[in-house]
Amino acid sequence: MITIENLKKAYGNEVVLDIDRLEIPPGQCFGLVGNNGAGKTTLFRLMLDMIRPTDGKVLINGRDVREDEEWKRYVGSYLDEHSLVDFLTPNEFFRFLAKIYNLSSDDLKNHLGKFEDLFQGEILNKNKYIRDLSRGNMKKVGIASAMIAFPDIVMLDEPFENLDPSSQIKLKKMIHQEMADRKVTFLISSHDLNHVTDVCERIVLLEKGKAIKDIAGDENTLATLEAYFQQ
Amino acid sequence: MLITLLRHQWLRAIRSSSRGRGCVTTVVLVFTGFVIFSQLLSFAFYMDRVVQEATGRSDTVAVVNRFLIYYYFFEIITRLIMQKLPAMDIDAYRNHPIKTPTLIHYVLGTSYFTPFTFIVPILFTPFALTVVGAQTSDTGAWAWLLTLIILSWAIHIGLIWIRRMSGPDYRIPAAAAAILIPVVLLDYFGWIAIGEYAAPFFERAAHQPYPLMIVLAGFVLLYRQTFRLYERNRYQDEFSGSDRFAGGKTSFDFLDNFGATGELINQEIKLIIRHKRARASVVLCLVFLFYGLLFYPDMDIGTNSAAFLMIFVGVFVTGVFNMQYGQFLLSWNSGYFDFFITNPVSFRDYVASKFYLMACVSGICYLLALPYVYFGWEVLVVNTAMVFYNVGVNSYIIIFLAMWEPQKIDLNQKSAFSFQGVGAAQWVMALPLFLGPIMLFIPFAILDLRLQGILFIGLLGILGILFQKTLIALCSRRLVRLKYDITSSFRSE
Repeated sequence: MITIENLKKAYGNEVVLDIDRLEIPPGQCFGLVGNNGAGKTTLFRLMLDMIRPTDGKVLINGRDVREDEEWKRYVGSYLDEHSLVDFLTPNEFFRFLAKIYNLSSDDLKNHLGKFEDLFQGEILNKNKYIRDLSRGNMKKVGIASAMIAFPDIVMLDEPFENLDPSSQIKLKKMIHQEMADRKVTFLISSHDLNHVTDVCERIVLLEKGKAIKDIAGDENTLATLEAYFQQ
Repeated sequence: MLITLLRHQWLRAIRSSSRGRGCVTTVVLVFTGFVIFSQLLSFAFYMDRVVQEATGRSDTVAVVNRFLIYYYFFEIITRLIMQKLPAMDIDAYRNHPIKTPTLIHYVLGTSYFTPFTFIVPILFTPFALTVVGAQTSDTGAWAWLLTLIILSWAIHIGLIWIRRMSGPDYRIPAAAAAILIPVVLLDYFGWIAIGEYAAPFFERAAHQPYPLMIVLAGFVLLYRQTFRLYERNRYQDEFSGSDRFAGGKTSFDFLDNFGATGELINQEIKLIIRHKRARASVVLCLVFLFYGLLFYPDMDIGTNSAAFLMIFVGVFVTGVFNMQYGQFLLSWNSGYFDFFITNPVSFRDYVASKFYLMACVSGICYLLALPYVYFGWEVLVVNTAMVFYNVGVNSYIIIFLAMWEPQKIDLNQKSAFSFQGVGAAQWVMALPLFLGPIMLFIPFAILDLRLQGILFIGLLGILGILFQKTLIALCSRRLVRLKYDITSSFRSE
């Protein structure tokens, strides 16, 4: 359960994010859309305690994310390649994560098994450093790393970007599967209205830092959003 | 165009997120430069008298000519250690119609803006114009002076060429130093007399045009070679500061026994092994192991000056890796710092891993330096105290300072023109590390309690090691406080 209260972020006089209240119940697939500079990545960064809020707070399961670090154990995230240790091979990277999260090797094997289809045999057991992978493959590594420790909450910033069409479809299937299996809360930001309305049951639209719309996903959502962005 | 590039460089500096740190470093450098230059200036004006009184000979020109080659050796070695390679991030400029030669000339030309360029002119002009001029003629004096100056320029660009060819690692310069140092030592012990061989070259510089023409030709040649080297290597993908092949074992499995901290150390070791720039710190460390050979032979053990010398050498021999690697302690991780703050890696484990890594390297350097006991058991005692001090006191200072406005660095150095090296600025941050024990020792030296002084310094180190849990916790609390600033500066620029 994620609660956002009075969250504000300003750089000097410029307010880049201003959200009164947002509640995300467990097991929801939450989509975040908006133009460039709307504040999507800023919101994610605030929720992950990566930047300092000018005002307000983010509570995960009732605890302020700034207070302690316990939430890191059950919140997985992948924002950009700065979250990847790029001089490791994917194998080494996943083993490193497994050690940090105290996963057994069986856990790790099971988890990576789920991604076999997405990886298409291009990622594991090749002696390539993460930094030498293509952007799409790096993204796949990142998504896998976000979900590696059976988290309750997964935050993905533009996961569909850089993925080829078949991988995008596979990712969507995977998200649906995880939500069905373990009631995971997914927070996904995207520029792709099609994908995000496909996957998410709730869409929040940010514009210049404010949450303009907060709608439940149904057959009409895509049309509503497209109409909004046409202005 | 050149003015614009200069202006951009200025803007980049003042808008940098490490502005405060860069400012302090510059102020210290400028101040030190000032002090050194005033000394140089007075030496320059009184050179004739100084040489006469030091050697008791009145043919000062001949003496100076004999000494010059040693001066140039000294210049080469000091430049290798203190001089930064010319660096410029040209990626932003390359897709615009700015001619590459302009950029290269700019980079090479501005590289001359260092104190080294000015030492030779300042030091030798007064002497040239007065004494040498008196002996020969005004033209002769100028010819001699210009020979010296252009030789210095040639050395400058030649070193850049050599280092540029070997990339951001220290093998070739280390080899050069390894050759020069024994040569100098041989000369010192009287086996060979290089000064005698080189002196005639400088003598003739004042009488005939050939030496001047030779150095001029050499300079132009080296400049052209360096220019071509930069020009050829301007393609991004051809240059990489990091390795491609990802095989081989680079894990130390025994570290598994040390939990999260051990795992972090493991990753850090992989980082060092897999990036040329980080490996350079290791090579530098090995080069400095021989530092003692420069100073130990001549010491007069039992005196204060010997004690200060041993402290100075000891702190470097056991601590140079920490000093160089430690300055960028967080910066090495700048490309993936977000990883540490979004995953359950405790800040205490992070800081602890850095501490133990530095401690182990210091320990290994200490063991490798054990042979120095050849110069006396006192050396061993001092080095032992220094390794304790380096681990128990300096490590914490390094960790503390490293968190102050750390700069993001690109381990992979994809930009063809941007080599960073060890420059004077890096040594400024290391000043408190080697000046510390020296200052602590001063009162003991005055009271003639040398042994007690050494033991005191060692004891401070031991205390620091005993209280490691508390002190590491202190550092990690500071990291928690500064984490927002650090991550935002790593994400920017």
